[in-house]
Amino acid sequence: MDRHQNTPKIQIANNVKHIDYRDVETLRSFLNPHARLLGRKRTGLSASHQRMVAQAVKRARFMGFLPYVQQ
Amino acid sequence: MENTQTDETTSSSEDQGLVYELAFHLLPTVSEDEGAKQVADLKALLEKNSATIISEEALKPMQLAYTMVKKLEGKNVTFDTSLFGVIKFDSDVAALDVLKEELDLSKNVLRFLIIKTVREYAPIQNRPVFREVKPPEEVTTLSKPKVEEKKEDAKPISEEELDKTIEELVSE
Repeated sequence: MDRHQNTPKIQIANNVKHIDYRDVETLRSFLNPHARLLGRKRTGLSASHQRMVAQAVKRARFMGFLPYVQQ
Repeated sequence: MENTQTDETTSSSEDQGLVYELAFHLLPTVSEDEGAKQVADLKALLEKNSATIISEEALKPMQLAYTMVKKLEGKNVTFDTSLFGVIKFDSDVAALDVLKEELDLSKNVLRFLIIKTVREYAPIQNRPVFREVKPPEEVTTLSKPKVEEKKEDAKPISEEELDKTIEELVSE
């Protein structure tokens, strides 16, 4: 049995073509309490959406919207 | 290389997308007038390089998620706050190099980012939500009849029977 079967997943509508790095509230839902990106197993996103989120989070970190590390 | 450059210029002239966004942090020590002048200078520079400005967001003070460092007069100075501004524009690739050089040399700019973006960004309507995990179905209905059965089976044991069983256990 897959041990990740019952883990919670996050959903984004299919028609979303761009994720803004300034939308911190949305991006926070893809990070763990240490501000590290969650993997696809945890987020349940499609590959393209996961790449968009990763890119947005990295931009947000560079511009000081999100921390690189959080204790 | 030449072919790729021409491709890019033609696509931008057809107004098909190469929309860029310049986001920047000005130093918190910059006054409102100076900030407004800096933004006006940047816009003038863009327009001079045949870029058209699509939208602009006013400067607003911002608390940074971590301290940023800027080298000023040979010394590293740290900043926890900034004035954040955004300009969205439509331009050729050549204008970006000019813009980047200008921003690199500017003493008022703490940090900047130039990215390709979409003309009109539609914010995500339904925020991503953790899917609800259904609670397991009730099991109490199954356990009830079992308890009743146990009660029926249990019979009181007389003292004689108890003694016998104890003796048997001791003898063993």
